[in-house]
Amino acid sequence: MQRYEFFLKKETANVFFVPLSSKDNKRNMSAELLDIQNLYASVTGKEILKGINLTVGAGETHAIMGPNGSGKSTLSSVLVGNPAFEVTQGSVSFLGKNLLDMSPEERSWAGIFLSFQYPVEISGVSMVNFMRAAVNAQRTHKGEKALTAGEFLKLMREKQALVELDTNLVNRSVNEGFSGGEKKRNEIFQMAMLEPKLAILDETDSGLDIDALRIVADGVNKLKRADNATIVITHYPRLLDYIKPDVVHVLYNGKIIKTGPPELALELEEKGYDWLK
Amino acid sequence: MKSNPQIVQLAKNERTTLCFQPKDTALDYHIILEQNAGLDLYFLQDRTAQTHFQIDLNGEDAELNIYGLATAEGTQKIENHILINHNAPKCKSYQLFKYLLSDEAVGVFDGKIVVQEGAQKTVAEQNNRNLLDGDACRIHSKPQLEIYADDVKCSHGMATGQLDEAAMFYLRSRGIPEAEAKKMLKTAFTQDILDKINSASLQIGVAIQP
Repeated sequence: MQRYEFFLKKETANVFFVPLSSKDNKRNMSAELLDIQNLYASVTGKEILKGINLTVGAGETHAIMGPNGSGKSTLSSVLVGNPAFEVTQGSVSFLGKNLLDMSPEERSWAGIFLSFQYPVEISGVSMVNFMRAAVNAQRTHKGEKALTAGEFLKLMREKQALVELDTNLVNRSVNEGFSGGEKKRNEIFQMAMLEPKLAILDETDSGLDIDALRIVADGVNKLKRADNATIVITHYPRLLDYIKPDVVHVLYNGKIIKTGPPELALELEEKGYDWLK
Repeated sequence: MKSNPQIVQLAKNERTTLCFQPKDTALDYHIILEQNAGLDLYFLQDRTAQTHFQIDLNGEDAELNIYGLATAEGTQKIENHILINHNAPKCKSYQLFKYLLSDEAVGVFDGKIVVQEGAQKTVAEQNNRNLLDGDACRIHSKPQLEIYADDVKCSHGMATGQLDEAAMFYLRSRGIPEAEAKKMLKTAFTQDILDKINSASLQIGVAIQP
C-alpha cells in the first residue's frame, strides 16, 4: 500500500515539474499555442541554447529575462526561422504543427511575429509596398481576396494611429531614416497589420525613451486578445511595468533557470541576476 | 577594337540627352563637349551588349551625367568601356552604372576618367554598383582615375554584393514569399536609375534615340 502511494506521487512530480499555482491551473485550461521541448541551437558552431522548455498558451503574456549573452535573442531568432541559427536538438510545435519544418514566411502565415531588436533598413522598398505584399501574402494564404488600394490605405492609417506612427509611409523606404523610436513603433505597427497569434518582442524597449516606451507598450496592450499571446524579451523590468506578464522566466546560459510570477521581475530588479546563477 | 566611332559634337551651351535602349547592343561613340555644353547619357541594357565610349570635355564648364543599368541573365554578357577625358578646367562628370546579374551572366565595367594637366577645378565622380544573384555570375569591374592636375575633386567607387540576407529574412518573416522578396530587393536596387530614366523621358517628351 505504501509503495503504491509513493509510486503515484513520483508520477505526479514528473508530470508537473513546475510548481502548481492558481495561475498554472488557468494556463492548463487555455489552448496551447507554442510548445518548446528540450531545444538546443547554435550559431556559427557555438552552442547558445542548451535545452529550453517553454509552453505558451492563448491569452498569456510571458516575459523572458536574462543577462547579455544568455540566449534571449537566439531563442527569438530560432522561433522565426532565421537561417543563421541551427537547431541541433529538441522540438518546437506551434498550434500542433512542427514549427521547425516551416520556412520563415510559412511561420508568419501560421501566426508568428517577431518585433526585431534591430529592424533592417531596406533602401528602395517603400513601406507601403512592403506592407501590402505582406498583408496580401497572408490573405492569399488564408484564401481571402487581396485588399483594394483604398481598403489597404484605410487599414494602414488605422494601425498607424495605434502606435502614433505619424508619418507618410508612401514615400519612405522600410526603416530607412527612421529614428530609433520610430523603428520600434514601426515594428508594432507591422504587428498590428498582421495580427499574429504569437508576438515575440525582442528587446523592444531598448533605445526607447519613456514616452516612446509607453506608446509602444500601449500598442501591444491594445492588440492583446484572448486568442493570442505575447513573449516579451527584455533586460529591464521597466518594460514589464507597462506590459504586464503572467509569467516571468529567467534565461541564463542557454537554459531557463527560473520561472515565477510577475513579482520575480521586481526581485530581479532589486537583486540582479547573480543570486540565481 | 575601336574601328569607326560615330562622332557627336555638342557645341557651346548645347544641352542634350541621349538614351540608349536595350536593342542598342553594339555602340561605338566619340562624343565631344564644347564650352558649357551638357550631356545626360542613359543606358538601359537587358541583353548581350558591347559599348565603347570616349567622351571629351573640351570646353570649360561642360557637364556630363551618365546613368546606366545593365541586367543580364543566362549566359548573356554586357560589356561597357567608357573613357571620359577632362581636357578643360571646371568641367563636371558624374557616372553611376549598375549591373544586376544572375545565372551565369557576365558583366564588364571598364570606366576610366582622365583629368588632363590644366583641367583644374574638375569635379568627377564615378560609381559602379553590382548585385549578383547566384554563385555563377561574374562582374569584371575596372574603375580607373588618372589625374594630372592638382586642384580637382575626384572620386570613384565600386561595390559588388549579393542580395542582403538580413533584408531577405526581414521580408520573409513578414510572410512575403522568398521569390517575391528577391524581386522586391532587385527592383529596389534598380529603382534610382529607373526613376532617373523615367523623369528624363518625361522632361524631354521622347527619349532621343541615336
